[in-house]
Amino acid sequence: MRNHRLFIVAVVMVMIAGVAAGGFAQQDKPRYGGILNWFDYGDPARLDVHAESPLVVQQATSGVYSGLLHRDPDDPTKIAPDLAERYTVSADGKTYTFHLRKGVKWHDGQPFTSADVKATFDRVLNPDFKSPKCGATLKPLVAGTEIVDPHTFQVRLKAPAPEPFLGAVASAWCRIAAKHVLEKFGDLNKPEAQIGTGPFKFKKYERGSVIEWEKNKDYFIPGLPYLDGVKQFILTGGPTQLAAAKAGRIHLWDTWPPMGKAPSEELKAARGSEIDVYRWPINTIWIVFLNTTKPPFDNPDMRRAVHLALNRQELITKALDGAGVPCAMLDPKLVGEAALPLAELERMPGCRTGAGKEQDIAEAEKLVKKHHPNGIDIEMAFRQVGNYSDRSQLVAAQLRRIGIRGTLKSHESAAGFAAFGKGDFTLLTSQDRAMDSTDPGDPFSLIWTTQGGSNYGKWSDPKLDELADRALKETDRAKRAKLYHDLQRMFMSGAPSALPVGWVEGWFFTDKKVRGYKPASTAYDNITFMKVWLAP
Amino acid sequence: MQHGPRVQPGAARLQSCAVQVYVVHRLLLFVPTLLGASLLIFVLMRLVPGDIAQILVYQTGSEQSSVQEKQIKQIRTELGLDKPVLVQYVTWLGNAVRLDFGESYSQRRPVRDILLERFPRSMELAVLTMGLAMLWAIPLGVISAVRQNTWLDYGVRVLSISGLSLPIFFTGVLILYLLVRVFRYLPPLEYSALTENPVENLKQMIWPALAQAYYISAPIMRLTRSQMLEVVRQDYVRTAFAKGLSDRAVIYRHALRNSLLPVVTFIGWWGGRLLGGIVIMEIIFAVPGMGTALVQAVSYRDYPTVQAIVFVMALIFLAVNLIVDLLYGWLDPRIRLA
Amino acid sequence: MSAVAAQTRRLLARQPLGVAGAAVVLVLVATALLAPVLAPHGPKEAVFGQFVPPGREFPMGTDNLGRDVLSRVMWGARLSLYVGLVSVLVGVTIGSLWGIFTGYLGGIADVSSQRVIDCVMALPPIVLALSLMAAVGQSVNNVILALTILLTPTAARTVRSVALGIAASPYVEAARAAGTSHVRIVLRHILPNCLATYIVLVTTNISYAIVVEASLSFLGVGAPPDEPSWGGMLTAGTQAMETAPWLIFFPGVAISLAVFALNLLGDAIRDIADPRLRGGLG
Repeated sequence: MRNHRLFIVAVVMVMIAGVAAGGFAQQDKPRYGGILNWFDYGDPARLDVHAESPLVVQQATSGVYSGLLHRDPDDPTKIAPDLAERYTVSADGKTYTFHLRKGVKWHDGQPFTSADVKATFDRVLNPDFKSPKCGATLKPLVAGTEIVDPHTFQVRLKAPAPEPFLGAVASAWCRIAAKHVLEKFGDLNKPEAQIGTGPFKFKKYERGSVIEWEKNKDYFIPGLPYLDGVKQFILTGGPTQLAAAKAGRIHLWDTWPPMGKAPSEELKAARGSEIDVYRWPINTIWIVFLNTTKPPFDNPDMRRAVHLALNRQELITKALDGAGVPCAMLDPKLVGEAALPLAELERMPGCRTGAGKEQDIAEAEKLVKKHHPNGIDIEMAFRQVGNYSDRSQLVAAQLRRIGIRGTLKSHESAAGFAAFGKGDFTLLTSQDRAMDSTDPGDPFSLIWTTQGGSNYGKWSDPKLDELADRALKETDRAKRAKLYHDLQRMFMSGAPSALPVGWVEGWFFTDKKVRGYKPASTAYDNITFMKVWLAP
Repeated sequence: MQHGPRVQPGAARLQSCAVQVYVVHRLLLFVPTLLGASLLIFVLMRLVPGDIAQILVYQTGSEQSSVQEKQIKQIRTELGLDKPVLVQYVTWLGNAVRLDFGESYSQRRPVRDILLERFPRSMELAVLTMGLAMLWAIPLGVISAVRQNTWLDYGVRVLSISGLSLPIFFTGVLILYLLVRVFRYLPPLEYSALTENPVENLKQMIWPALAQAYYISAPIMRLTRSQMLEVVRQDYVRTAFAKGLSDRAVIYRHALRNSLLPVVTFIGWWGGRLLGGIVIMEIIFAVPGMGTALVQAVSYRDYPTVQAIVFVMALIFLAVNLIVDLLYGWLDPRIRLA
Repeated sequence: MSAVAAQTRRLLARQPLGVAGAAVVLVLVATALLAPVLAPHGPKEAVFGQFVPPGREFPMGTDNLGRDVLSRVMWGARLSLYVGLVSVLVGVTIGSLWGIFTGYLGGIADVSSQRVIDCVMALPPIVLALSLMAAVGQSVNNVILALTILLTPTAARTVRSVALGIAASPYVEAARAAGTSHVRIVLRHILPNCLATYIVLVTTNISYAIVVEASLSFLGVGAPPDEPSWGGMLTAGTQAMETAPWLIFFPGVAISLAVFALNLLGDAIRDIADPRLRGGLG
């Protein structure tokens, strides 16, 4: 009884404190002016947001453009209107009508109309145009587009698919470009072609060194943005990035690669109370790929053995300092109910810990012995980036226990993709795949289906494909979640080729002066800084 | 990397006609060597597995796998990668002669723009490095020779070898770390052109130049020392000493001037070489020079860019050496002609 | 015995730095040879606590994956010396033979070989190594291959100039006049006289090879990262210089010590063997 009362008192106090803090935060009035500094981990070189896929391209251009919809800067988990004031859906769920804002101007002063939206959609939907992010998602969904009037635009879908479609339209990769700019330049690669409707204008691109945006004084939301500009240093060396953070030269770190635990602690020691350091999921899954077209992993038993033997918990603890969700195919934090509950997952062979894991390993050893009584020597490939080499060494050590002896083979970063895409590997120890949205269908379409663009192991299971397709098209949320649960159970109890090690998290920081910044669940979204301001 | 000057003090004095032949000979060798070097890098890059089409398509990994094949073919056709390698080389060469280096695959802009933008920066860094290195290496080399086999000599020699002992990337990282840790100072991360803002420019460039100069100064110091020792032993210097000239006068008027000739050759050789060596410094100190562009281009299999950058690096190297050799022949006609 | 002692004393008096270098090199070689016995743990054994500072149990601490740094530094001596020695021996040997034969034969063989060498040497070494590693892929043996290709032309050029000098000397001319065969002249006269140069080239280039290997690691094209190469350890250590300074300190000291000692030794050998060759980069 007394405990209860204490509990209630505590809750009330917390609530009061929360309201007070919230109220206080609201009183904290945004301040105008200042330049926000951060960094790009590479030189983007090409700036065409429709044709490219690296994060740096998004970093370089995101504040320049607007989308029809976007991730709400105040709560990036939600989709909010941007250039479209609102949209309506037809009764059959197949026609979306977007009502566009009036009086919006491109950075060069030209008026924005539905012709620009049409030009953008035509561009990314063109079957001959390589659009790896926006186009790749929209092409399978969209049947046709139409200009209704200068401020109304319609999209017809092949079948109702509200979540994937709206997710794509709100994604940072589907931002709207100007018709006259596309006509003039042919593409959006050049700095001069960076003409958008966004809160910032593209000011300067000193290649290999710095990218600058300046405030768009005619931005369609009055009073925004707060910042005078944004500056991105191009820093490719790991030690250089950390030095820039320690010296207080950058305001935030929200980019790939995330910091490890040790650098984040060093940073905290160097900057103390000036910064907030936090752990954050990066919507990225670490996969071990097995090549099903080559021995030994053309044999399901051998694949099953690796699946059972991998100790995901240890991999995450040691290689990622514990920052990750081991074994999950879908991360509940990101996709919600569609993810198999972690408690159930932990009981499944391959994901168990303790005595259960020992059983799994014994079983795996038996499977390997059945086909290779003396064990087997294979090559284990990885790209030499981030901490992939650390991870690879741990994977190799774990598999050695069941008689799979690996020699590590590292590839240069970019070249690795060429080799893996061609299927030129036996086992891939560490490959991260970042998602473009938090839709549970994403990782399946990319990795775990026959046609998946990152299905490096060339794995094919028609039954799973069919189920994944059904799940993708299911419009009822609860039913959809159930289908994904079935998919995950089926996958984890079989002999798959793309084994999830876990969802990756990392450490980031923001300077305490930076206000109004909310990291989104993908690194691509909500980096327009439209509502961000700098405290004195 | 022994490639000192080929000095033969005993060789006969040459007539001016021979010098002209020598100059023409050297000039004639220049072009085939440059072509050979460019062919070498051309072939080497084609041996590298994977091309930019595969990299671009598979790196994204978002399109359906049936689409990927088609896209790779499309990019290859677009870039002319489907033509035979020899045809590609000849085409490249034909254009390069007209100073048209094609379009960069990865940056989608003329390679000439990349060269014009990046080249002066790397040159500046190289010149700065060499200047700093000479500034302390030559005096120390002289001291070391004059006080041969004393503790001072040993000290200087140890100092010089210590410069060679740390990999330069580590010297660079260490400098950066100590600047931040001890002085809470970080050199500018944003590049400013020397012509526009010389102070900011030097604030950024001085550190990579220092790190690299520490490394380069070792061979210069050692060469100065050994040349000084050799010259000091020669008759005319002994005579000068015997005539009672002061140490200082002998050293500066006679010995140093003569021993500096091979040092200059060597510096020329290294100066050309430096353009490649500053790759690492550029990465660490965020200098957008040719080195960073090259590393990026190699990793993306951006053949036209790699080709052009290496071509220019080889050109500079050969040109510097040609100039140094000619200068040397002019200063000291006793050299034996190769 | 006393004669040896006297000689050692004389050497010590004349080349104190060289003797010190030789002593350190001996220790390094012994460590390299005995690493499997001396090292308390396997170099790839990642089973200990992470980032354990140097102490009683781990004299040099453990790294980010929980590997014993002492063991890795010891095995690293083996790897670095292996890479340095093999690449230099192969490169300098091939280069020397090439230089001797083309230098002695002269004519078209010599001229064309000189042009090939010019072409290779016109490319900056780090650029050449970078493209080579990209072409052949990353492995310890490929690092050796790249270094060998880097070292061969320079060795060929140096030895050629020495061989040219010897070929023009009166005693070789006399031998030729007496009808001695080319092979015999090369074997009898030229080879032995180039030996000093050869030894100097070998000793001075090993340290160069070790440093270049480290730089390749930094550029991400060195030996595979699980291999305990000093350069690789140093590169990895820069990620946590403050948390775990021992991760850069010990491999850093190891590289410096090795390169330093090899240079001192090389200088001394150069002074003794061939005073004319002073001044190379070494």
